[in-house]
Amino acid sequence: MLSFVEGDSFDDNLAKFLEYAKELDPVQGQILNDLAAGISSEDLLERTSMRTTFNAAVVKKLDQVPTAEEADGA
Amino acid sequence: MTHYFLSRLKIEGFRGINNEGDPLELKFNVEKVNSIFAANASGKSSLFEALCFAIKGEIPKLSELQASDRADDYYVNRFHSGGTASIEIDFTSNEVPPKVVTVLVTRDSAGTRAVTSPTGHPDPEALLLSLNEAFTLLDYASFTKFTEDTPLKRGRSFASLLGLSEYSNYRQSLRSLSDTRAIKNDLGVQGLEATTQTLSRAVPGLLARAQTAYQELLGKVIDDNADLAVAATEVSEALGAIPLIKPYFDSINLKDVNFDTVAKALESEEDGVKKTRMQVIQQELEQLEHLEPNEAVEADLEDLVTGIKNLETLLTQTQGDHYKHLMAAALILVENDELIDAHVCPVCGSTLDESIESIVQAKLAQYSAVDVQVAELDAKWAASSFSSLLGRLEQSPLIGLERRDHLAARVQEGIQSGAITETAMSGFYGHFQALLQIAQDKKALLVAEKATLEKNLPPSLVALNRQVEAGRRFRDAWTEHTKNHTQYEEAAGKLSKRLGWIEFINKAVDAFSAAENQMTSSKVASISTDYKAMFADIMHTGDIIPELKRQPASEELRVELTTFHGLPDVSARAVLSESYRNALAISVFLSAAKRHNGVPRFIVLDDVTSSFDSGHQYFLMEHIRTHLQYGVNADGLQFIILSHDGQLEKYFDKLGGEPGWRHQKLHGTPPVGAIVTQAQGASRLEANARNFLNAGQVNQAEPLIRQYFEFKLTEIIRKLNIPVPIDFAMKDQTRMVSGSIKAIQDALDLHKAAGDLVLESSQESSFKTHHVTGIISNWVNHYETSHATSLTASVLLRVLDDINRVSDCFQHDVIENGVTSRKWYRSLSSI
Repeated sequence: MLSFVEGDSFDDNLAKFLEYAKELDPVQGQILNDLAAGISSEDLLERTSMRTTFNAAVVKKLDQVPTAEEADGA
Repeated sequence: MTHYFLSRLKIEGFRGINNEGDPLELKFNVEKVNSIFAANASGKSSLFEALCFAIKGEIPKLSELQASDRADDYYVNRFHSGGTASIEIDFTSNEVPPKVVTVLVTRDSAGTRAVTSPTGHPDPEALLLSLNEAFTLLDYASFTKFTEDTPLKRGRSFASLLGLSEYSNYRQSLRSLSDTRAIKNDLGVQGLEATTQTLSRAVPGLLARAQTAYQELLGKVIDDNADLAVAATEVSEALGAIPLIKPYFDSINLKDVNFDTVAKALESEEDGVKKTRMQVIQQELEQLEHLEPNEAVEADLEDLVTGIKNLETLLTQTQGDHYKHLMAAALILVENDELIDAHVCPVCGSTLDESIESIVQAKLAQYSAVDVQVAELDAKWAASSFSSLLGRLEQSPLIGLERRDHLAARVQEGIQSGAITETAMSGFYGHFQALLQIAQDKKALLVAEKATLEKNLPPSLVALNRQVEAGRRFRDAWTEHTKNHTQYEEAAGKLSKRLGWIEFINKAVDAFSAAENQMTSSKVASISTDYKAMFADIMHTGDIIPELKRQPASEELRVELTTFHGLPDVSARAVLSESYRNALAISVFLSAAKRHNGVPRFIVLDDVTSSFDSGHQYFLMEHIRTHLQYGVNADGLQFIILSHDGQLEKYFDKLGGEPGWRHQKLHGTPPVGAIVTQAQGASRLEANARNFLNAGQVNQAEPLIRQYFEFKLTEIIRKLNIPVPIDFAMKDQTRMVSGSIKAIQDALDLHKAAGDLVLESSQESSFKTHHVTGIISNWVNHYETSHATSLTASVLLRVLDDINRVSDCFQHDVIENGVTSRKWYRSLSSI
């Protein structure tokens, strides 16, 4: 289970979260790690723009990843 | 980490502070509570705003103005000839030995802000940014907002107070990334679902075509689970066994057979024209086979109609594009906290049962549902067998439809614009059926012609043609089936990855939120003892115990009362008066600030006790003095308290002489004249007034003389503890001097009547007969009645001299160690 350490900096705790994401799923967790720098928001309008850009990048990354069958076949 | 305190502030040309050539300078003691009193319109607000502008980079009051109010014109003092505002601040670190960093912030009339460091700090702007915490600069509005905010907004702003704003912002970002409706749209899930569904529906039809052709050729049945590749080999072998066409099939994969070449080979046999025509008929019949509907077409059409009905239902709940824009604009107002009242409609002013935020969110959700439905319909249309068949029918030369009669593109436009209706779709379906009828009629004609031709061609050739035709049909169905399978696998694979991502990101977001919640709840709990004790101390009550409650799995922060005069679990907002609510907010803010381990270890409080009576003001100040301030508590904070409250000023004044407290008072004539502190005041006021008088500038000197005289008189009142009327501080400023003189005279008369007046008789008569009725009185009378004729500079210089002698009436000689010095009487009473 993920927990944050109060005395640690935000960056340190964020790194913990990204590591935890890799434990949840190595492939998808790695995608989240690769794109984490693009996650930011100040307000509603920016968040909407950030979301569409981020998800477009997720689609590209997902399409590069082989499916389970493709991986088995390889 | 290095922490900083505020040790000096110097301002010129900013807002109400002119002070041209003679900046207002205030010094603050790190280990004392620093209080500053200024009567209304004496520059206190400008002082607070200077710190806001320097540290936060903005003045909230000006930032909230509309464009037509031209806020930019009101940063620089309009009467300062230099046109530049300057704010110089010293920050002292907690290092040993302490380091002083000076930051200079300027703003010119063009609006350019510049931040430099005369002491050479490498990044003064970054230093100011690090000092910009939620608790650094607090005014009455800060606390009001805390209690009036919605639980969600309170939770998010409280995160800043606890130093967790980065977590709150990141959590909101992650939430937006995992919003199911939006993410499905972004990842194209609807399109992939529609594609896989359509491809899946097409399989039985393709299989049936292959099975029919196989049975025709080989006289056997293959079941649904048969491997078509194996069947293809059998077909190829069967056709290859026919000597006339053997070379075209031998050792060649059926997929690669050139059936046109086979057809030409058959054509070269007897009766070429008829055979040619037969070939053409065969080909046209194959083309018409592709124009026949199957079950997938009907199923897709039904799906589309259902989707269109849903769309129509959703559209009836919305009110058009203009209303959508209105709701979107309202949401921006809500998000930026610009609504005056969350329950009052900004358009008509009526009071609403629900908050504007929840109404707007619900309305926008309806529009979102429409958008989602349109996207789904568009994806379904693009992938549907119905649209594909309609397109083929319209474009087929066998149907011969004029281009202007093509409707497929119009259907797509109608779907994409959300304007498609069930009625319109019904019309399109009629057009589709008409085309199908044309195809069927055409087929019937061709079949009839083929039957006639077959009667005239050799039976063996007819049979051979039929076999080859069957082979071609099997090959085409098999190829399409394989392609369908490949496309289905690809689409299904993509869909699986996207659905997997949605599940993953939701789990990740839930984990982050849970961890953030736990940490925040822990921080809230850690200040619980402090704020409860502070609240009880300030309000002097044990009957009301507040509690901050963080909702599980949410950012909401509720304020409740665990006990209210014996009653448990009561809503704080419902029962607490304004003063109690503010006391709670102050307690929470100061407890959180004390615990925060950020860069600033100072707090500036501007008129935060407006809702308190003098008793509770006193309790708050005492709590700060005895528990919170850095001088008595190593974990404490440096406090700088600004106030215009006359009752509080008496408390400040009394403590100003005690260790642990530094009190200053502002005097001035903003925004035109100068503002000075008491420490600066006396000698500077007199010196500046004399300079103006010696230069013959009487008009500029008179306000300074008045300020100087006020200072001297209030000094007398303060030093000798002379009582003043309750409304003394609220009286018209122009009559402050005569009011002060009257208060002193009344006190003198009282003690003289009581027989205990400490003054020498010469001092008493000097004050009464000379100063009060003499030249000063003349000038005071002239000044306070705004008499047009001014006194001359030489007369005013004598007034200044006389003012200096007034204080002397209340001082006496003291000989200590053979040295004589002049000291103030402790009071007017000799007892």
